[in-house]
Amino acid sequence: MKSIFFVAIVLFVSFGCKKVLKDPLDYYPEVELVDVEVQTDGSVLVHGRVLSPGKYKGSEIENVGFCMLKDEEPGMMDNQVEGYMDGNDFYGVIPQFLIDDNSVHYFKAFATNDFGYTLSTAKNFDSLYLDISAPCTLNDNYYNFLGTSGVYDGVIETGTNDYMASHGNNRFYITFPTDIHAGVYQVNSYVALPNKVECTAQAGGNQYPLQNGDLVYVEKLSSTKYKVTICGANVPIGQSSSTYTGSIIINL
Amino acid sequence: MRKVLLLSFFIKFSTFTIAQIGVQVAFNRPFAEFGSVMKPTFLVEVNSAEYFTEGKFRKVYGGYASVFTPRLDTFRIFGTVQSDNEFSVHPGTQSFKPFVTLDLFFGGEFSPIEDGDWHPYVGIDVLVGFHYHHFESQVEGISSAEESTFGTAVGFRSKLGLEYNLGKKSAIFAQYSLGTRLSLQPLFWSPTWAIGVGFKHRFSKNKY
Repeated sequence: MKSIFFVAIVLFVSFGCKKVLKDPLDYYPEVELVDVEVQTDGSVLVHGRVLSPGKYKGSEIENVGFCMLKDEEPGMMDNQVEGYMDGNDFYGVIPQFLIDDNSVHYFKAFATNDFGYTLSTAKNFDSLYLDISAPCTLNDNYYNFLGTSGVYDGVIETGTNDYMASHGNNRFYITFPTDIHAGVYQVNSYVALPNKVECTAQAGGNQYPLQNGDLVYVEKLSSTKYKVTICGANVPIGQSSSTYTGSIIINL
Repeated sequence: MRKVLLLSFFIKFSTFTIAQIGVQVAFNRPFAEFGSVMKPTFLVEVNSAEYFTEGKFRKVYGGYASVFTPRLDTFRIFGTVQSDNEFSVHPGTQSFKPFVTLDLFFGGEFSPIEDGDWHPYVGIDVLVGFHYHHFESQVEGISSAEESTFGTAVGFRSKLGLEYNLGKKSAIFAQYSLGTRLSLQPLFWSPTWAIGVGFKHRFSKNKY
């Protein structure tokens, strides 16, 4: 008989400290977005903070990160970057090519625990100053491709957001997905994607698309003048490849 | 022969059942992870037990039912995707319909006091349960699921109570119980504690 008493006492003690939280939302983590800061390479360092891992006993943070969207509040999947923890603070880096100088950027931080996730309230920043500096310094309208270098005669707009620089049979075509703005773009054949551009170099009458993923630096010189710089982008040519280096000045 | 045995079992069972019936209504509080999802509710129990005046130890059996409703319309859940160079967290939602349980139990109770009208007691029950469970969940870009289950469960509960005899045929009692059930389809624990009051009455003419 005493064993029943003993078992009952053990059960009461072992379960007694698992308190139920009054507010079901208290099971989730609490998180805030502290600040964002533009880095020297144009990327944005995002700073978040875990205010609580969740008030349930033993709650621990599992994942942290950030999301960002231009001109409207982001969902968790929008331009998501993973965060790394430093005490209760955590940090993430939004790549430069996701930032542009003509948009308001909205950021949110998030954290997850055993029970679910919490997104912070959004903070918006409309003055993310971009100091675009290409890794190479080139004279205006200079190009070097397939062993030939020279200076383009100028740049003309051939269509909506399409530009062409030419010097005889040597040409360079670039298509922006939207109105041109400063930033670091990636070369991509599907130009409709944001922050990606389609680039083609022409030499001797033949056109060669630049390789997807290479970077294109667009610097804003004035409200109507931009400098586009490409530093040794890969250009597939048949079974081999070459590189394209050049800069063009676009006057709107 | 088999029919005779079966008949004798039912006669014995029904005699015991009808002889003394207890009814309890209790505040039933889920806790631990189960308590994060479900609201407190009421438990209604019907049981049958001998009286402590017949011995310090008694057997008890019966059944109880509860209907648990979710604390939120939707809960925020997430999933993760890990590939070679990328890790992403995907948001999702989960919602529940009321979780209905019916548990049958059998157990023992022990009171150190055999004489008099007041009988504090402790006890433990093992239970076999049934439930209806329905949930919907979706995680963006990963999964979407909806499931309704009539499932079974096993479990136990420990009890602490005080019983007071009202004359020779009736008694009232207050009881605190704490236990858990393990749902087998789907697999999850649903621990609860309950505090309630009840009334029991002896219908047979036998004295104790």
